[in-house]
Amino acid sequence: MDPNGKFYFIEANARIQVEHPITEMVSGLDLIREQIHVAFGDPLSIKQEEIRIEGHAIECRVNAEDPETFSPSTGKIEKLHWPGGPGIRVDSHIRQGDKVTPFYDSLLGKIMAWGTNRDESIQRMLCALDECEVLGIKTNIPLHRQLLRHPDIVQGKLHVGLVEALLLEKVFG
Amino acid sequence: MFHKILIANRGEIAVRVIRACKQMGIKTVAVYSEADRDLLHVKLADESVCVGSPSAAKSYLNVPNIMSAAQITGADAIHPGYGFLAENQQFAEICDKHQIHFIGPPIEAMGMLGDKARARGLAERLNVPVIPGTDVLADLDEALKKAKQIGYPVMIKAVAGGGGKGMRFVTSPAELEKNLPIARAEAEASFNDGRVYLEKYLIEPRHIEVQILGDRSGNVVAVGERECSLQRQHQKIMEEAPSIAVTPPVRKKDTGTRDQDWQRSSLRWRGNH
Repeated sequence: MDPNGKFYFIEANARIQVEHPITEMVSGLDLIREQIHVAFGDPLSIKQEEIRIEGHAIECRVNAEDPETFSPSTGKIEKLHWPGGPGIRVDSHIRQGDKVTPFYDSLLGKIMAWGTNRDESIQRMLCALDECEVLGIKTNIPLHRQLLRHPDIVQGKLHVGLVEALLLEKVFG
Repeated sequence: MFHKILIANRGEIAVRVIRACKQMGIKTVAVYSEADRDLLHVKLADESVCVGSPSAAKSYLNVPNIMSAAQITGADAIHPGYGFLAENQQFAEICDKHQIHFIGPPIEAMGMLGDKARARGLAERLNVPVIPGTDVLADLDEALKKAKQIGYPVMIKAVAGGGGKGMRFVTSPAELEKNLPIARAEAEASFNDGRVYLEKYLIEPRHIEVQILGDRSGNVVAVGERECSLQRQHQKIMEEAPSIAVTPPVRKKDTGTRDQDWQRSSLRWRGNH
């Protein structure tokens, strides 16, 4: 989508997406359940006119990586606490004592924050990130905190080159 | 409903799928590599099968071992999650051959959408806008003419391209004249293929996705959009829904056209994307 709001088709990903939970949070649907039903041959549980998008949801991908150099971080998770509270969802597989190995992608989990509006979801996400504790390996949580406090992101002035431009300007850290 | 689903994945998405299955009363089979035997997806599933050594090629991408795990455990469907085998058309065909349901789109749709050029062609036929571009350029005159039609700035791109080689950003006819031979020479040197084309360069675009679900009867719904512009090296970091840049009339038009167009396109969905 260009700055004038014009759309261009790029691709269609024929699979469930990593970030599907934010759609689930604003629509109330369980997309995996829908996938399983339609694969079995059942009809969709919902019609277009029944779909309601309510509130706003943000997802932060928590990766096992150095927040400054982005090199993967491996090792034993000595201590782990995921956040909770109203509007917070965490999709993760890691537990305290697990070993993060170098064989696969660095995704440790995803924190989702729902709010009645965008400001509330940002506020809830900031609280969730502050509460989150992962010891023993490095994560990109500090980067998420800084991103969510940057004026361009708070105001929603987003584009695909923004994060790299901000990193290049050394705005963070 | 399915009796037992094998989840051909690991990590958070394997856990996510197992949880959905449990809530639906479906039995689950986890597969794992030797490095993952103590992970949560193995613990949560009703059954688990080790499918190989730590490297993904020998475990989560090991089709014979995964198919054997499905047959031994009597799974009647496989959920591929994302990554690994999720968009592997050949894997979906093998599942089909063994009468195991692949939880995803039909094979023909995977082939169509997996090939970016074919997907773009389909979008064009359905009047879904694509980034304006050209075919292979014959000479400078053609390049100048086409660039004028598309509008500057434009990107010169190598047909065989990759890694930025043979790629040049130009903002005027003079720059195009100067950079076209350079891009060609670079493409020739890098890929032994000097063919180049033009594509409109979008300034500071956003990455917006529309969630679509479809069933076998051809019902398709669009469940709003996601804003995925916060990326580093093409990897998404943070996403949000809805996008503040998508206004209600745009949303109606965008999701509306896609909905109708995909229905018309004779692609019958078995999953969502």
